Amino acid sequence: MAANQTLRLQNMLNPESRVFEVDRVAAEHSTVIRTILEHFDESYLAENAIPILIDVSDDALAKVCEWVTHWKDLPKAADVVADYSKQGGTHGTANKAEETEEEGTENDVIDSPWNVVFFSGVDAKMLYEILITANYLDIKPLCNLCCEFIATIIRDKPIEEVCNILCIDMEFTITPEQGAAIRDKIIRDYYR
Amino acid sequence: MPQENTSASDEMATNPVPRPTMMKLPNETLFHIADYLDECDLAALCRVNRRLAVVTPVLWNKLFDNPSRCKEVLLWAVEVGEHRILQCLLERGVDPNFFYLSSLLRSRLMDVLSAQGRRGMLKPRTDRTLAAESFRSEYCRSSRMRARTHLEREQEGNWDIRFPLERIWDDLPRYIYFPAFAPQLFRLADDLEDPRGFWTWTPLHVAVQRGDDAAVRMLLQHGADINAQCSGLCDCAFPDLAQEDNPDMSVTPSQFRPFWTPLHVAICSGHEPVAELLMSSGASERVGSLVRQPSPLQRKGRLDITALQSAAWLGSVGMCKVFLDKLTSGPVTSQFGNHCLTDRHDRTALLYAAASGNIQTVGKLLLKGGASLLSHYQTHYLRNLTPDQDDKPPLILISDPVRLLCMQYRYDDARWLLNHCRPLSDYTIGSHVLHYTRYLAALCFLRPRAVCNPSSLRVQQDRLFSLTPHDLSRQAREKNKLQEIKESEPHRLSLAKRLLDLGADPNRAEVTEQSTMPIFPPRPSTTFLLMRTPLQLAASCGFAKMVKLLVTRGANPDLIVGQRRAELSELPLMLAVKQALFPGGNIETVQELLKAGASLDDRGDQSVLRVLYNMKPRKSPYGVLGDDWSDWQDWLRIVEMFLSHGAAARTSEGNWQKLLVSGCIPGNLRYCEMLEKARPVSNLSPETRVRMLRTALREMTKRQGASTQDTEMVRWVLRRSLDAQGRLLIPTDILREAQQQAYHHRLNRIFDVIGDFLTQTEAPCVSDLDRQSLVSLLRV
Repeated sequence: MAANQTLRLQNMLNPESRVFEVDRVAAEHSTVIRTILEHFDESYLAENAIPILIDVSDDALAKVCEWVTHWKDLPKAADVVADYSKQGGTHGTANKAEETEEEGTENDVIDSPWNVVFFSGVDAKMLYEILITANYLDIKPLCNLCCEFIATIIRDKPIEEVCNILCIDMEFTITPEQGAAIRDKIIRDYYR
Repeated sequence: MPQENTSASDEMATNPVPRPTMMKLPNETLFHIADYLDECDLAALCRVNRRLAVVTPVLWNKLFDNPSRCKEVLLWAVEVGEHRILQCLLERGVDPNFFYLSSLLRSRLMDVLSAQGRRGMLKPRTDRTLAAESFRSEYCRSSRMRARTHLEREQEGNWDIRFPLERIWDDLPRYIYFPAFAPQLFRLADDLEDPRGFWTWTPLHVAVQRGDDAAVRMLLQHGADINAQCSGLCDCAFPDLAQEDNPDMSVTPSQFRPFWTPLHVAICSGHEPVAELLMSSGASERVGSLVRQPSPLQRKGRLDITALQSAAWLGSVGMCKVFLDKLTSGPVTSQFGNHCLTDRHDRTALLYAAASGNIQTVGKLLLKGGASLLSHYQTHYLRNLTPDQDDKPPLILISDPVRLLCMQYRYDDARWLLNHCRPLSDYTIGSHVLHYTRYLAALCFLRPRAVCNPSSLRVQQDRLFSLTPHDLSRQAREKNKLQEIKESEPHRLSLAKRLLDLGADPNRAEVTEQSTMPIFPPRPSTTFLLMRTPLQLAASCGFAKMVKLLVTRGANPDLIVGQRRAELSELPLMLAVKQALFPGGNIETVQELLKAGASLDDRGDQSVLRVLYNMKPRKSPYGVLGDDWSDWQDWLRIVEMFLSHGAAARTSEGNWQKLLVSGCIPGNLRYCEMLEKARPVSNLSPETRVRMLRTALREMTKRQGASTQDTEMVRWVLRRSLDAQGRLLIPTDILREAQQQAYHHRLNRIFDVIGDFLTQTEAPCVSDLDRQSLVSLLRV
């Protein structure tokens, strides 16, 4: 396989979707695409675009492609997967500790100013679509990034604001007084 | 294809695209996001809505590492059944002995509320508030509570007086809005805001309640207190076997709180394996206690009710079997199946089975296991009882299952138990007569029904809520009770016949609670015990048919027993009269007794007629009533009955004269005429005549102004002081003196009457000495 080979991606759920061209190296961030590459002929791939069966807009897909292309030199998540399989499906706190260590290697990626710029113009809808696309294609670093970005949004915000930002409908309505009382209680309980 | 496309785009245009939200993210992504958040942000996120509440476990994982918060995680692990986390925490050394409130409370509460269709109703209905208010103001026993009620009412200026349950009501928005297991809902009992906090239970209780063997075992291994007492998790009310159906007494969670050990929780939630596990781990055989007005510091009472009693009370046959098997198969020291164990009121498991209406199921099982109808103490008491001693203290009220069933109006069960026990000869002491007579006495005593519903506190509270203030009023309740008592009479009679056939002795004295007015029983604290025969009891309750039955079966109508055996007022006849003169009394009882030949003779210096005169209904000093008020009419009817049965002839001369002297007070003319008709008054001594005059005048002067001057009565008395020839039998001076007295007290009409009388009659010749003594008699 040639390293500079380009792959084509197309959203099959949206007939008006355009075809994206991505470097094969970049596309290998996605565990799903890597599996496809292992199982299909190159001739077939040259003729057909890789289908994406998820209802996202082209903009989001473009964003994902942009991210993947920018970070194509990053070490791929393949080693991590191998590590997981070696551990034999253990889980719990010990597992989590190791996980954080592994993420430590990607810290420079996470903290990179490029990412800040990348996410600067993204609204809630777009963020959601990027996240589900990353989740669908199993692009681990991007997933982490999105999750952390959302976490940053949520952090230190009152409930209503979180709802507004993330377009969540509140199931219940609370009067402002009740809300204030509850916030006071939370502050009393958690910041004593 | 293109057409389809256009239609699709049209749809897109008309229906706005659903906004992509975080809610649609898969769980693992949500967890991923949550991993990046801190504790307080997580808590906020949990509360946004139900979908996002799935991240709660992440929150617990965070708290897990925090030594000050890990108790909350422990509770959560027990509630959810996370054995791994539980094990991990316990191995770290988290102490499982603490009390807490939890979201379990919330879910239970919500279940109850939704079952009652009250979900979402944040303010209680007005009538329920009114009922609560009337309950508070009318029936609150403690003056402190009453004072607080008034204070609250003054401060708030409205009717918003709430019950403990309704206090939760105000917190309900919190429970509804935040369904997550948010730590805010856990309030450790150590910092309970409400000192009467109702829900206190330990992780062990919750594990037992879930029937979680593994968790229970784990907690016990790590030192959980196996006899910790909880309140509120198990909803069982503490059994009160002497209770009458009294709605205001039923809601006392704030004053009396039942506390239960884990074993009881296992019994009432029906987890037999857990119960066995607890028993083998050394749980106490006593499972419950009742704490009166608990303070936050006093979270334990003396354990009282036993496991077997608890199972019998709840009527679970399977659990009883478990305990009874333990007795036969287990080590000798095991007390779980011991049916002889009693609680502090000396009540056996069989009694509990009877009280909760499970005598034919659980009771049968217990009897088969060798249970006795009487407790050890009662047997001991009866053994030491000799016939001479029977009215000396201590008197105890022997309450065995049959008697209790009679008190509860469960006559079918009582009959079943009688038939079931007879061949077994369950009484270790005394003849059957002894016991059958006791039941007979219980049947004769027309008490309101004793209610021992094994219902939960919450059910009882809800019952109160369903009542209107009118239902709570005393009259409304008494009316129902009277009707119920009336309806029970045929059953009582038929069972009494059966007991008499079996050999009950109607002339035997039995211990009963003192209550002269069965319809308005005195407060429980004021009742005391005394001895009475069944006939006395039936008469004092106005149970005419029972009186008739007892008399035909050989009851002696003149028998008086007990400490007051010298007093004539304890005669069945006089008890019946007393009862008949109460509102709603029954005169038939008196008729039955007189027909049966009840004695009207004097005893010592007491006479039946004088006792009867003392029972004369008194007029209210304020109301001016005519001669025909109903109590008076009833009394006169009774007097007439007595006189027609020859009471006058049986009275001694001395008593008869005293009766006349005391009887001729104003307003008593009809009574005096009846007496005169029954026994002529011609042979009275002058002293008696003067005394009669004195009584008439003195009573008149006492009542001056309050009532009209009864000239007829004075005329009658004056006429009685004439002999057949129309001559005065007493000196004229005396009448002059009387006239002066009347003048002195401004009784004009009496003055005139005496003056007329003096002019019409002729003075007798009486010696000076007699005259002086008689005059002094008048002045006294």
